Amino acid sequence: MNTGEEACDYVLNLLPEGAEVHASMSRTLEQIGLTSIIEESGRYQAIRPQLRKLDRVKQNREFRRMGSSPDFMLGSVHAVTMDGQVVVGSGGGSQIGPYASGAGKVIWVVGAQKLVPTLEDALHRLHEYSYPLEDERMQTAVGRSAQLNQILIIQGALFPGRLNMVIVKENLGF
Amino acid sequence: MITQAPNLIFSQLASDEQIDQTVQALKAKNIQALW
Repeated sequence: MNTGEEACDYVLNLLPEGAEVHASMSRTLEQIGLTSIIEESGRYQAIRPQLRKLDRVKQNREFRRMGSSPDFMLGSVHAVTMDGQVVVGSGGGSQIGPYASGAGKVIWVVGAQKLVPTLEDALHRLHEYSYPLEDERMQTAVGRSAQLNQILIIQGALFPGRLNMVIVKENLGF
Repeated sequence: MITQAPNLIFSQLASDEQIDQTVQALKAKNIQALW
């Protein structure tokens, strides 16, 4: 794909009308307009608006269950190695469970600036590029630092078709 | 306040050849990929 707009259209074509869709908090998805379409079009059962209605403390069990096993999970990653390893960093880990096994199908949209030669480069990218930008975003948004508490490394999948990646030749996300 | 400046070397787009190589490597690991 050459543009985020093309990637957005491609992903939307993969989602059946009425499907249960969870979009992770992702600058990439926001940039290409996918987050707003998922949450506001009414064409899908969007998970995040339902999560916002829950009390995270009093309805914690429902909150965890609803967010952990969507039919479709959309998001991005922080690095992809040229030998096919995928690296995702997270503060709270809410996207890591669905990516690893909880979601029925995972669709990542990835800017081509996230491709790196080796796993060592991928971890350097996460720490030296993605984290500082996420930290800046968090400082601006909520006045506190980002935390990089969990790192997921995917180096293969048991079931073909569950993990899907659309690479865009455009600088998208962190 | 930002804690460190991002290392901008990681903001450079991969070449077509590098993307092709990555897509093939992902497919070999059962991760469907395209660009």
